Amino acid sequence: MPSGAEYPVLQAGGTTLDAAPFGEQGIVLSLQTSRPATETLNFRIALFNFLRQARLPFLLDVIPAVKTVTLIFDTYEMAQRGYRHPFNQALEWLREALAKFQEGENPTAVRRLRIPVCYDPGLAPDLTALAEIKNLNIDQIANLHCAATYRVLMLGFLPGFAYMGFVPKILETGRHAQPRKTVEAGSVGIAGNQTGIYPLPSPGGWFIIGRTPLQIFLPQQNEPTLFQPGDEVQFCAISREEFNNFSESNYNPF
Amino acid sequence: MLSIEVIKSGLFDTLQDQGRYGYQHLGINPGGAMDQWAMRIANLLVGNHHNEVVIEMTFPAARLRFNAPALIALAGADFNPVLNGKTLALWQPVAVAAGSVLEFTRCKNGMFCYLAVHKGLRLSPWLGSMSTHIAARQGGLHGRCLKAGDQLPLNSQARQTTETQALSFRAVTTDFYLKGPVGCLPGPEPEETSEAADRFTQQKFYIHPQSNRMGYRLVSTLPLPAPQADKPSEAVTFGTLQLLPNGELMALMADHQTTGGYPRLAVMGRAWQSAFVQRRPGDTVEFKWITAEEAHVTFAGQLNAFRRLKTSCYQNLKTWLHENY
Repeated sequence: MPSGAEYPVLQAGGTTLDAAPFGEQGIVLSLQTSRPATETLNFRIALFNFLRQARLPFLLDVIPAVKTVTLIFDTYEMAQRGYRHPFNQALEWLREALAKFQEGENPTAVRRLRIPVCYDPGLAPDLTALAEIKNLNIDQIANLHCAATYRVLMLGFLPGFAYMGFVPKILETGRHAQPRKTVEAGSVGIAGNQTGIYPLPSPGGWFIIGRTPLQIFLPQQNEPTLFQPGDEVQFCAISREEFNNFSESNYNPF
Repeated sequence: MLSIEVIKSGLFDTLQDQGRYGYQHLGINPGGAMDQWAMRIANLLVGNHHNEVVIEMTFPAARLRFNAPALIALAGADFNPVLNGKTLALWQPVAVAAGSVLEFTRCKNGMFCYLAVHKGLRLSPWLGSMSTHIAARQGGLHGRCLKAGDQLPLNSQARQTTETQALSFRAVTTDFYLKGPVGCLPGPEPEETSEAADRFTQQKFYIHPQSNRMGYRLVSTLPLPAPQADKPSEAVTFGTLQLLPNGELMALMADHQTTGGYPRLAVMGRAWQSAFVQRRPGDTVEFKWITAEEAHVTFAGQLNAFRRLKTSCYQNLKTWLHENY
């Protein structure tokens, strides 16, 4: 059985990272010492952007999560080409690449998006219930949700589903014990201290407080999702009438 | 029309290749064939690149008609394939005449059967892959399972043959389906799963009927000790074994989500994955711990066998393909 292994460490711009093997294809990078949440987030996003552009050989995917960045290598192809120790080899490439990493220098400027949301109980099945639980009215919930600026912490669950942090303390809520069978595409939800938008109709357990008329999943485009890790997001309230008359082509979220 | 026509729907038949990579940071999982070796071998047997799109079928599988002569091969699960009333062998290239009907009459063993056709199907890829992504409704044919009436356009047709003719060679597959316990590497958070790690290799698991392309639910008589605390979502892969709070395991499969919040107890060695995915609900499975070295050596052995197969397919097919395409 496995023991609590000591993982190889890597240096990235003065920060020490643990590099844990993950199956035969993956390397999980995590900060060795914890830092405040915002700093960790900024570092992770900078690391993600850097690794996406570092052109490491045989790299298939770079997947940021809340606490880690995972790299997936094409070890099938590596074995095919005769690499004897794919993990050690990938680690070596990573070590070389990270020598050039500087945390302050973010290769892509942060993208800022404004997302229109209609906070109408007819579109948001949990809005009234949440207002009652929190002892607020619907407008107050909308105002609180729109007042914060969020960052996309990571994507997952569904194509284009962005986990955004962090909702104002007073809006924090659990999940439905029994997930809803169908949540409509565009539904804006809250779970824990995060908010997110369902890009596709799907079962889901988040508290739904609004709906955006924007397309979140864009399968026919080169960038097939509206959000990317690290994006800065603000919501702005629109009326039901604006929602009904919304025209995608007349709105630029950037 | 040069096509394979679906004349009766199967339960869950999709088009798959090795999957799409490069989009997991956007929540788009790779998908792809469940049994990657069967998909690759089926392709070799008809003279294709190993990543050509194939039809992946579960039982009951679709009934298909070939509207043009074609060279095909079946690989993976044995659903007792019958072509124009005659039983057809798996792992062997077969030249079928136009108008032939292929059906699958009985589930003899395995979960996923693959049908490859020479030069593949004329479809447009989505994000670099033909694999059907059911949740996104993209890829494959209209992003969904095949249904009666679908036409799968062929890229080329063989010379007209009047009757079905099996070519005189077949693939030996023992190297690709390892018997015995499934070899696993420890997950990336061994300290959270240490209690379960011992028992994991000492008991049998049953594959629960609620198993599909997203994941196989594995149940044991005695649940594994599992942490109850919530943890943040982390990246997961095909073959990751998640330890669920109720002590069951979830073996993540091709249509897994890109991230998951359960502790990752283990990751299956790739060399064992084909044997694992072909198990059916109700079958048992046992696991063993392996080292990274064992995982690599075993997989390298399969790659060698695959390379030999590729050479022999090429030699056996070149004259036939030259004369018939």
